[in-house]
Amino acid sequence: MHNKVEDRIKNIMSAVFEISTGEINDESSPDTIESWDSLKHMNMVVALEEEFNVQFTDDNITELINMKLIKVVLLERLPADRL
Amino acid sequence: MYNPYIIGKQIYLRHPTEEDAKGKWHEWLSDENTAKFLDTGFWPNSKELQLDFYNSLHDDRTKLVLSIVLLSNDQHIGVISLSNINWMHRYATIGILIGEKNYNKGIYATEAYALILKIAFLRLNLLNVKATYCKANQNSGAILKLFKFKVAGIYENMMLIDGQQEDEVITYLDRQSWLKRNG
Repeated sequence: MHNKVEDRIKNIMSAVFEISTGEINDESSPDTIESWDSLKHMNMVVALEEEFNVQFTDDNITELINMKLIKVVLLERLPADRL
Repeated sequence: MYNPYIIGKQIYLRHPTEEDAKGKWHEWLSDENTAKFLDTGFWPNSKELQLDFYNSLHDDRTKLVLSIVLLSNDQHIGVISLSNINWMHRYATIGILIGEKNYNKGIYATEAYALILKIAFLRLNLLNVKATYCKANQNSGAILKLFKFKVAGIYENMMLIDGQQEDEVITYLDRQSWLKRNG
């Protein structure tokens, strides 16, 4: 089930940063994705909220700085029946 | 870390120092692209003007200006502010500038926003934080949307940017909504 979440995150990151899903792994971050700029970062967070129908707290938002942490925050926020 | 006012995960906010004012701060405000959407962006800045501004902050209780500093190496990368603080009606206007372009990846600006909103609502006990932005400034629109600022209205064709008249969007975030989301 977690793989499904990961795939959906990758699809969003792929669309926002205009890269292939194959280029995205746990270490993907602003340091490894060249197209990761300020506007795309914020668009990614909003897209994640819309895709998973969650609302991040301000603290959550500050944690969304790489693929690994995005997964951790989303898995914490999502009820078990939506994983 | 020097004199932190609030500490985050990647950055901390502190009162600006004279060294900040003598450093790159004044150059950020002269940079055409960085200052494009700022009210002060049309006039060249200087170290002397920046020092005047820094000195004006000491006794001013209507404006909270904080330096954004990296936790990793203490580098000053930008400033964030609550200005026009109205202590009777308890509101202020938020503004941010990430001057160091290498750190303009979104993660530092969003953390600075999260920290200053915490200061506004929990430490200064403000009831509303306001922001206006030029509609053409997609970064400002995106960060305000991210932090759930509500659009109160639009001044049509209020701003003149690169020879084009642009709308100015008026937004605000109230304390109750912020508490509900962050409680």
